[in-house]
Amino acid sequence: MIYREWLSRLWSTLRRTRTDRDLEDELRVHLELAADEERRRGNPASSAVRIARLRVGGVAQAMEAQRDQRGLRWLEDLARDLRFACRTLRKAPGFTVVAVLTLALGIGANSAMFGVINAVLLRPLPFPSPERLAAVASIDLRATAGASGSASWPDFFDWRSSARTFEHLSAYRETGFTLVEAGGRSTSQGPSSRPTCCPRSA
Amino acid sequence: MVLQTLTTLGPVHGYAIAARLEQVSNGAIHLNMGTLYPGLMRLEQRGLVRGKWGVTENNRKARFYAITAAGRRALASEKAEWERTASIMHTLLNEPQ
Repeated sequence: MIYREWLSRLWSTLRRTRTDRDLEDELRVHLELAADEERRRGNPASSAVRIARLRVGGVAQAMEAQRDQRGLRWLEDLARDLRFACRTLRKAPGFTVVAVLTLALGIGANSAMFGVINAVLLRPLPFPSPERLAAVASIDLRATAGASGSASWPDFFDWRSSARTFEHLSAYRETGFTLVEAGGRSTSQGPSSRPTCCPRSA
Repeated sequence: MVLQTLTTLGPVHGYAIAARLEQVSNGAIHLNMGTLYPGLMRLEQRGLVRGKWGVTENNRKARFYAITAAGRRALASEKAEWERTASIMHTLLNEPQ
């Protein structure tokens, strides 16, 4: 029942099924009939309409309530606002260009930042049970300018042979390499080989 | 109330509905236009009444409302629900002290 009402209201918003004039005519007839009633009750013709209006309410308020019920007011307001915005933007092309460029830059920068954050922080690592993965590093407490994260091969072999907390330990070496493509070359940083401790998830 | 009025009177215009409700309730129910017409519109949107322009007995153009089959079903169901509620309240309020 309710969905039928909403469909009807949507339809009425798109294709005005009852015009303002139609609604107003109905209210005016109501007021006239009420005024007739007042005259029948013996009120003078000059004050019958005023008394009737006091009794049945004003046309303007009733019109407003009918308009609210007729369609989807927020959709009508949205369409009106969009039309107004388009007219205003057409009148000031300079402002429109600046606004569109600003928005484009803002959206582009946000997308790029989200892309990085999504890849680095949000997306799980491509291994089964990524929450069980941990990075192990040696930290040089004597270092003054920050601790190094790398470990020596002998340290790694010692850790692997005596590890009880981890199921597996695997090492990777980060290195710089040069990619040569048709358009030119670029330098990248990354692991020289993929860690082999865990199977990659599909 | 509107559906019941339309069942009793047949197709009538908004003013007749308001007048009938006022008369039957001895003046206790007074619907002004801002309440009556949005309500009629809602009933029409829900398919419970159908409105059509016609002419009154004193030759005025007015919109006449008639109850639909769906309206009759809704009225029967609302009446049953109301009677059940009223019966529960009656039993509760007249419980022996």
